[in-house]
Amino acid sequence: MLRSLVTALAVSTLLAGNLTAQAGGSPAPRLSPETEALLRPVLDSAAQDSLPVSALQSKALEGAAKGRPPAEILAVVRGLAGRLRQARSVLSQAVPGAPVAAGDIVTAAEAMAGGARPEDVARLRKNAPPGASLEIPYAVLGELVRRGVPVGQASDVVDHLVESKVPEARIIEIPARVDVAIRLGAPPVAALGRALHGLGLPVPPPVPGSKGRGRGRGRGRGGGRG
Amino acid sequence: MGDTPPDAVVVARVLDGDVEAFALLVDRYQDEFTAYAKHMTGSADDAADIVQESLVRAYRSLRRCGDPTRFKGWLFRIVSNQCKTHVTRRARRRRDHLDDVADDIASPYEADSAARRAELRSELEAGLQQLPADQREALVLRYIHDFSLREMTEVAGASIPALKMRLKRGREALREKLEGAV
Amino acid sequence: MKHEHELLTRYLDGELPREALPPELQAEADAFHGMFEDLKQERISAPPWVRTAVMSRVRAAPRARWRDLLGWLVTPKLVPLSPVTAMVVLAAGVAIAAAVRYQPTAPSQVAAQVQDGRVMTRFIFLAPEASSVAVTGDFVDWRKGGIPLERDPSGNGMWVGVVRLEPGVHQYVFVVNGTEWRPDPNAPALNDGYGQKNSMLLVPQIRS
Repeated sequence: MLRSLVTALAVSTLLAGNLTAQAGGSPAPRLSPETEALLRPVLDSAAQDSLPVSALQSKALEGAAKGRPPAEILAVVRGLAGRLRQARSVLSQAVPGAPVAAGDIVTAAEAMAGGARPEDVARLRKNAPPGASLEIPYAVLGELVRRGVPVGQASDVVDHLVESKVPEARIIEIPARVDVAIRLGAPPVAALGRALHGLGLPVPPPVPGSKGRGRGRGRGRGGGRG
Repeated sequence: MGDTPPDAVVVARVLDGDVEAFALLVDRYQDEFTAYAKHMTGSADDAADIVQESLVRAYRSLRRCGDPTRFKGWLFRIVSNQCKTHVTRRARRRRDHLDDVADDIASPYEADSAARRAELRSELEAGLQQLPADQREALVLRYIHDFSLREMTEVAGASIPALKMRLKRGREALREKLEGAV
Repeated sequence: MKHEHELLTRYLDGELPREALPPELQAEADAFHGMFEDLKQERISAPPWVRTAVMSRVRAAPRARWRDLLGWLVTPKLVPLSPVTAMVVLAAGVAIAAAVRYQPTAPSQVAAQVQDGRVMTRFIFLAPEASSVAVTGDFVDWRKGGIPLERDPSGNGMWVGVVRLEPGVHQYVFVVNGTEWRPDPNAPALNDGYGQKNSMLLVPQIRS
């Protein structure tokens, strides 16, 4: 009953958004009736699977605002729904029974689209303090992987930061610092090390013989001053 | 939370550097201004743009608000001027007006009286749009926003006798248009 | 044109009570008021984006206070200053003016100003030739008009706006001259799925 209400609300919000836009005066992007009809089954299905429907709505509105044709909007939203579905599955299997936050699903999906592996996503969730939001850590994981940091090392770093309960506001600063170091000529791993050092953030302790752990940073400080 | 502070107090705070206090004034007046601008321009879209522009202008020229206890009238004047500028700059979009009215009819199976009322309202709005701006302004301020003649002088920048003349001519013109439409 | 009855005019001008009108004019007066009643009752609200856009532009507008401070620094004081001291004071004022000029950076949180859980975030875009710049993204449902930015009054070509954002991850772009969609050159880029790039902004939860 609740799910069908959620579905109805999700679909009607897209439609009502257009009417409200008229009556309320907001020049909001419109979805054509054709696009709305095409999207309805995708949104229905997403709502039934407890996916963040608002992320799909936002992607549809974005496409409309950018003047994309209905078929393209449908393809993009469907693709996103598929990635969200996969992310949700990974997250719920990692810690069965625990609620899965919408924000976590979205950024975990984004991280996996950028190259993070399901096992990295799952590990972060398993090791995180209960109830912690992982929306930002997953986003940062994705950003590090996109910048060329090997996925295992990126995952180790983010995992360690979350386990150490480093505040989001600090974790958020890492990608920009990595960018600066890369621009100054550092390779991605070294750039990450510099970023962590510069921010005074903890580095994961090395595990002997393990590829995924911080090789060359055994002293526990960000390596790569070169 | 207790009573929100009067306009003069909020204006003083903003002038003293508390930018966020301006949000109190935005919240207090934005709906009323949007309604007014919609009646003046016939377009909900234009109304929202006008209100946004007016409020930002008001912030920028806040020091020139002579008497903060008459802030509302001063602000209404800015909105009114923006409406007139807006109307002369853009062609009135009849389509938007009809769409706005269509939204007000909740269902095609609504009782006849509600549909008829909506039809009359549509005719009234169309009639208002056909009036000269100063007559429309006078009618909207007086009969929709319940301004007194004295309050209207601040907004319209006209004397009471002049406003009475605008109201009378506006009423006569409106009556003629509505009787012609029936 | 049929002219209004003089008694009706005086009543509508507030000079006569309703009871002073003959019945047919009372009916006409009631019909007139009734005509506007529906419009009066109509619930019209400003859309939520109006408040967001207004406050964004207001926050970005130059503040009187620091200008007053600058004025104090560059204005000769009553205490006589040697030419060298006067030059130092003037230089200090100019240095401060330069320091508060906006530099093109990625969106930044504006101090620790938090209200209702949302974080005040400043967007800056360099576009000296533009006649308008707005920022749009998921936080305004990708509305094309977005939130208009204000031109920096110093003439440095920057456009600035401060928007209150929910913590989390946001995607946005700038819209130049109402038509060109441009990602932020100072922020991470993401494929939007439609063949273009969006910019990404991470807004942390800030506990005040």
